[in-house]
Amino acid sequence: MTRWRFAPLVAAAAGCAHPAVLGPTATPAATANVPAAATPTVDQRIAYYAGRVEQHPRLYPVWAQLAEAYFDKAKETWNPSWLANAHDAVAHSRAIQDTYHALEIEAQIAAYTHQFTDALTWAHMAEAAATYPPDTHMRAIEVEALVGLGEIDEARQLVPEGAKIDDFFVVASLAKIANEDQRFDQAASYYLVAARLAHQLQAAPLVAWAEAMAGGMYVDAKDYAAALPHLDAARQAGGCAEETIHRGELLAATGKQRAALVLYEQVLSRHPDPHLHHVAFKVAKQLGDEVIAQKHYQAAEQIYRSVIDKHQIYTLNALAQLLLDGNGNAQEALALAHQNIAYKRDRQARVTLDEAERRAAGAARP
Amino acid sequence: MFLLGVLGCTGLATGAFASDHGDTPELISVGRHDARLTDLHAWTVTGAGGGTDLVIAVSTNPNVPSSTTIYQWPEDLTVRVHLDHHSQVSFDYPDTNSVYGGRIIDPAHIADDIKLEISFMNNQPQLVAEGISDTTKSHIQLFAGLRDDPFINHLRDHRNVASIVLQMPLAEVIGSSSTILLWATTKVPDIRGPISEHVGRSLRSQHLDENALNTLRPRAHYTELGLVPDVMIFDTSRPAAFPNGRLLTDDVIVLVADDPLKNDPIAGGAPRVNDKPFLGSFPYLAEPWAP
Repeated sequence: MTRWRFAPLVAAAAGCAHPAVLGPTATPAATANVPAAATPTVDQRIAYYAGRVEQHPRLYPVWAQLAEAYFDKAKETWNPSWLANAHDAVAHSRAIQDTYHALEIEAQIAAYTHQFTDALTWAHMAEAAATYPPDTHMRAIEVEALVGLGEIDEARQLVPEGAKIDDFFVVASLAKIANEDQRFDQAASYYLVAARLAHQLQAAPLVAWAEAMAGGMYVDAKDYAAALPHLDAARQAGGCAEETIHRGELLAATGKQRAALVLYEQVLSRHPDPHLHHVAFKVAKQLGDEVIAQKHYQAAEQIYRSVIDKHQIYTLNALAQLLLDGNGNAQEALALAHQNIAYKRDRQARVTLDEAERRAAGAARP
Repeated sequence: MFLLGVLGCTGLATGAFASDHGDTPELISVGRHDARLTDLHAWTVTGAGGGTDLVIAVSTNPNVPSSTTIYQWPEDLTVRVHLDHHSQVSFDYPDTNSVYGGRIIDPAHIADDIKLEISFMNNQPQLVAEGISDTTKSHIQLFAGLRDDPFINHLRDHRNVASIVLQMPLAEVIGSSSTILLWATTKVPDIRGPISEHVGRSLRSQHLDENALNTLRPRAHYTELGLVPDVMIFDTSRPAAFPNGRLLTDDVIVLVADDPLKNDPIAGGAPRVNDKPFLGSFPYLAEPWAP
């Protein structure tokens, strides 16, 4: 169950409010900071920032904003072509003037695409540009990258247990490490602190995310009664993809596979996501609904492969696991898992590789 | 991946330290660190002709990478220095003197009698002045470029910022009173409308609980928020010394009577000196650090 916990959150990122929801509502006397009626969509941001750099090609901060919008588009659509656009735009920005924001985007793209060594480099550079106050956002990316590289002890050194937990990013990093250690109750506790901090900052999307993650931890700990209130709190805060995933997991774990499938399909009807297809496949299979299961399997596989076809490696793990879950080609799953472990060596990657090796060995037996 | 996916779009403002280094979450969330104001200093010097000159230094962008040798000013950034020379200020209240530098008698009528707007074209500063004559404008010295961060707390040692320094004859910008009110703002366009940033007296508008100060004119700080307007009070008949104006050598974290950082074990403590010597002449700010 836990292996599905992470990747779908990418979809949530695309649905996150942007820009931040923090800050006061401007009054009629405001000189600026006047919010528009609605949060702009990714497409609106791309059109706006692209238009601005077309008019003013040396606006390097706007090139970086355009890169960020392209990156969000890549996450939203699972189309890596947008990543190429993001790379081009951020390179354009940095060619005029290197900035913290450009470095931050480079770090995020690298981590998203599982280029964790690069992510560490970029995050270090961005962190050095910020210096003080401590850049806990980049520190969180470093933790993410180190966990991705399987260097959990190094991650622990960045955010040691007992660290002051008054910062969202620090607490989220502690939760990430606890989760990787399979200390689910501890991870849930951290996520709840993160939710409280996000609430204080009036960051509703992050409240939803942290509550959903806490709920997911309780599902993993098989404490189903504890999970539900947090999933409900996440929904009350506006909901997110994690809330859907973990609610589905909870439903499935408590014998309500049909309800879980309905939930997944409702979300998929609005927003295609290979990881949701993947979990929907598994639930449909449990229900014995082979036609529906195959539909979701093929949808997930198509997206995972399309990413790899564009020379990206960030769906290798997921595709290997899909093949294993679907009793697909064990040798291909093993090859993918081996390829993946060169980049991504966290618990999820190791579990997939172990399973692929077992299955491939079994398949090779006469 | 999950963490990045979520954190990558939050734009959460992190802790706020230094004079004005950590504010305006809206700017941080859209990556416009170039529009973040870090410091406002104002003091007087003896001008070239022997008269008294007013010097105003505005610093921006706390996140300049150390590799930067020449600062490129974005063409959509507007920096404004505002000067009110009509508001009356009382110095009869020791409590407000120590915190704000005085008490403004009629805060509802604070307004900028003079506005100095700096924008950039081909990385050259363009000055547009309102409320002064062309002659006065021609007397203004203007510097814009990379400098050592003048915030003297050691937390910002060996860091550069993008600074603007203006020097002008005091007599040409002052009203009937010797006291002026000063504040600075930045503005950049964005998809949901322009985003602004404000600095007046140090260590106010950067705190999240006073973030609304960044969106309003100083008089509205009082009329709409019920707060003391965030302006710098400077009685130019007296030597500048925070909170009467602000010298480059004023360690505001130590000097601000009400600042929560005063007792912070990292930021607080004894007054410090800058990590690089300030210059004795225009533009006064220390040379930038080399990469």
